[in-house]
Amino acid sequence: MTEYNILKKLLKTVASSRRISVKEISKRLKVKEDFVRGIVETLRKEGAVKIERKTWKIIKPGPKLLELKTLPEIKILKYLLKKRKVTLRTLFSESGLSNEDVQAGIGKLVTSRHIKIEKTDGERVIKVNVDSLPRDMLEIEKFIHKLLQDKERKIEDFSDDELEILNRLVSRPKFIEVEEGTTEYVLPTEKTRVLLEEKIVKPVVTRLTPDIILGKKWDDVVFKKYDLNEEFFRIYPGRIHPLRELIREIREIFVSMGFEEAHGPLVEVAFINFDMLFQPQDHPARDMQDTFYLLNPEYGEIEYPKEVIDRVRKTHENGWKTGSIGWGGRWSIEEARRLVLRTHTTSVSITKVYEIGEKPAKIFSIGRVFRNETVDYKHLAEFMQIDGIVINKKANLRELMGIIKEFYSKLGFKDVRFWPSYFPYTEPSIQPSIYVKKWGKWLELGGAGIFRPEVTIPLGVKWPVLAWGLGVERLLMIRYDIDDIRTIYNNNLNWLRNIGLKV
Amino acid sequence: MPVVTIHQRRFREILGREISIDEMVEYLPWLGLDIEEIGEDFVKIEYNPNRPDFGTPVGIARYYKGIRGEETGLIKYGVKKGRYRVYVDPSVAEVRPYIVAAVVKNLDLDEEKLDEIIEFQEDLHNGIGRKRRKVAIGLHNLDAVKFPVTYKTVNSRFSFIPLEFEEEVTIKEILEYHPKGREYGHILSGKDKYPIIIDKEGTVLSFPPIINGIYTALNPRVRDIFIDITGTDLETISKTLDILVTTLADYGGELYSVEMIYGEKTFETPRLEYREISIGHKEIIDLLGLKLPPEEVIKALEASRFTAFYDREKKSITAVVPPYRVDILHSVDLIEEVAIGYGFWRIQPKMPSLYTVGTASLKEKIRDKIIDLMVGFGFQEAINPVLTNPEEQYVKMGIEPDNYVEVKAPKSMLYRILRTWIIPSLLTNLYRSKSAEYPQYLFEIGPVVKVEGNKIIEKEKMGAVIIGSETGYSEIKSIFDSMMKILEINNYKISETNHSSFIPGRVGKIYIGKFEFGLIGEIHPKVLNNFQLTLPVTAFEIDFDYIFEVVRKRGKF
Repeated sequence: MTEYNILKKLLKTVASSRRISVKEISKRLKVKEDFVRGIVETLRKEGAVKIERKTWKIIKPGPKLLELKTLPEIKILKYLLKKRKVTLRTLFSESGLSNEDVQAGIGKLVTSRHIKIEKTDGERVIKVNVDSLPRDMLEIEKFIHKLLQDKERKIEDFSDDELEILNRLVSRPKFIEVEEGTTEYVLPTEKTRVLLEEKIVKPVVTRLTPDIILGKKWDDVVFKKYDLNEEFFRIYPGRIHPLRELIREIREIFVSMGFEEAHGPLVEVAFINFDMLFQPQDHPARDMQDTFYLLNPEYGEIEYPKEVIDRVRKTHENGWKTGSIGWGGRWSIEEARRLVLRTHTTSVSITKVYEIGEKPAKIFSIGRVFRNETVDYKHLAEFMQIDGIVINKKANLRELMGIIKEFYSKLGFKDVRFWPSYFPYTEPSIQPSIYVKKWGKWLELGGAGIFRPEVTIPLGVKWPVLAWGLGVERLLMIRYDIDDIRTIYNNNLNWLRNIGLKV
Repeated sequence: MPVVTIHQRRFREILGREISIDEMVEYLPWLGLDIEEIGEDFVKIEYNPNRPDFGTPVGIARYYKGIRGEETGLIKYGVKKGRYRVYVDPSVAEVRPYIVAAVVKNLDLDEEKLDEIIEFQEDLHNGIGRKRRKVAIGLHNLDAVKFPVTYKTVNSRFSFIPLEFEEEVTIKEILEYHPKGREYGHILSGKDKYPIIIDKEGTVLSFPPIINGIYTALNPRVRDIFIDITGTDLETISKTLDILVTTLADYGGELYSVEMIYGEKTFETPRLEYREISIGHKEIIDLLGLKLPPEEVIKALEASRFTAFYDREKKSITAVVPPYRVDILHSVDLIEEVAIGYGFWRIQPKMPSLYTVGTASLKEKIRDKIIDLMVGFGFQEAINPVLTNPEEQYVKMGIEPDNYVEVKAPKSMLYRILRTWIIPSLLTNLYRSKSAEYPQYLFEIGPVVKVEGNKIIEKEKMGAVIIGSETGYSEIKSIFDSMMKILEINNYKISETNHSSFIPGRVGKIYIGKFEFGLIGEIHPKVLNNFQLTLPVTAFEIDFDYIFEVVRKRGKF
């Protein structure tokens, strides 16, 4: 029988009776009681049946009663009434009762004064004081007889007199057994018949099994309803780092604007990081206070043709043919050969200017840069920078502003301002600021400008080169309201796992 | 960057008109100044080191008036011929070869103004003066100086009373005990002679670049001052003197020249040289992308406090540069002055005309794919600094140091070498994530740097770690194998190795042919203990550059 059929039969059974016990249903449907209980419970949640629980008490004859079929005192009295005069010894040997029972019976009869024991000629003789069985004993006999006949009786079927007898007998060990319990009755409700008639009642299943799928039984079952709002447990998916997510966005923006991505090494000679960018050799930014110089190896090779190195040297010293007066003083190649952790990704940009030369190009790079900073909630010694250049004969300041404005606008910052600024390698130099709505203030995020002739001409480029270097971490701080910049590189899973999705 | 505080009251006094804090906050940035702090009655600004002339409220006002159109064009600073002489002894050539000087009279200072000047002097010392190494300035009460003055050298036993002291001390003592001696003494280290500026009567004006003598000290009532500037480069100290005296002239002082006598050679300072620089009109408007006619360009340059002329034939603009503008190195520097004088706020951004096709680097594309693959395996990506320390990389890992790159004079001992492998960074991340639910899966693709011979080798590696009570070699190996299947790299072999960061017998080197591709295994409990981790950790670290090459060579089709 399928679950569905059982359910239908069960509903019919319930609907056709005023009330019916689970036990009875189980008997009629020939299924286990637990199974019935499961279905009934589901139906009850649906309001299709009601359940009533009744407690019951059943009285059964105990083993002693089954053995004696009466009480020992009754048996003894009956025996005595036949014999009239019997010695105690004879009683013990002839009554057919155990010594224990005889003793108990004699005790009861003596107390009720139905008999008396006298001593005659050294023998103890029993004297009976009644002629026939007293009425109460007859009642008990009747009670016992009925109980033995019925084998068990419900407590509610007893008369008051019978209850009194029962109370007396219960106190005597092994004569009466009392069983107690609860019966579950299933009662039909208004919905029972409705369900039955509409034929929408189907077995409820918790787990979808291959049997249901393969047997195409999905229409024959009802899937157990769940508490849809219950919270079970958190699952932590693998995720990319929020900084990576932002970097991917930035890359996408520059690529969409026609820029080609470039890379460069983290360790550079000062020549590339500073000298090619016309940073004077005694510039405070080149100090060990701000720049990480390498302890080992201390110096590297300047992998540029001698003539380029020479032009850079002359430009620093006296401006060479760039139209500049230069910084004056002597330029030291020793200083230029020192290895540094790049302080900006402009090292990548300037390398590209040399590689590409005077050809139209738009290049960007995103990478790690290093500053010898004391690390605190506002400062890192290592962070990311976005650098970019445009080499074009017609490139100009307004276009530089246009690119940066477009970039920030694509990131969602519509208000961008440009203030004049200063960098040794650009002229004009500008400082882009974005308005951060949720902070209600302007924020500077880097620098930009047009490479000075002192920078590009020694590399053979007379065209203007637009250049910028912008920060990344601060954008992330705005996005996720981060107040300690170190959070970004701590990789604490409590943070990473709980970062919300933003685009 | 140096900072100047501009009080509203003071700025009003200098400009000779009412001015609000709001106006200052709005317009000062258009001069290229950064607003550092806005107070109730003051604005603190930061200025760029190329503009030392911005070191006083007076110097800022000079430019501010121009940009606001209140006073434009060049300021002519005149120098009266003074009868002051400074003799330079040839012996200074070996210690601090150059000196220039000037006299400023009839200053009407008060405590506030004097403080502004002293701060300005300090900014000049630190910026253009490179912490007094290149430039040291001495300001003296002119009345206390008896001319001629001599700049010469003395030995370390020479003694005088320096500022902040009450009795005579020797040069040696100053260098050893005086706070300024301790701060700047290193500039003279290795010398056996010391520079001294001394007057006719033997009064010591200064022991440059360390400290002045007590007798010529300034106070707010001093009206006439004598300035000496010593240094290593005549050009730089002359420029510094120009910046200083033009500013003092704006404070109301009259400038007088001093004759500098270097043996046979004599010249007068300050020079106050007005330079002429020319640039094509087209060059200016092309670079700015602004179609400004020549007269507009000239007007803009005047707002930036230059005087400019247009040459119709050459179609060029010639500007006269005042002596305090030491930042003008090249004609291109005038272009920015045009932009600032024109008003930066008026310049509209424009999209570039150059059309190009954009491309992300292939390396980044492949990196992104591998990252997504690892994320698919349930790993969280980490990004760690390359800068770290040997304790994390080697000591805690229980191994001998690799050939790492170390930096000089790091400000933090936590960041002083470049990492040579990634797993230690990830273990530090696990340590920080101790209160997060387990298991944890973490990976990073990032740079590692080593020294081989005298060469720096930068590589990218991928490290992955799993921590959790259930993790074991089989899990990490399964992930590794599964990843390699997807990468279609099948010819690898793992051979048992000894590595004290891992449990013996549960660590192997991954070889592809003879190439050592990576490392895989279970981290040693002693290492876990060092990172205060209490659950098993499994890990692998492999060569990302190799994967990059394989995938790259395979191509798209």
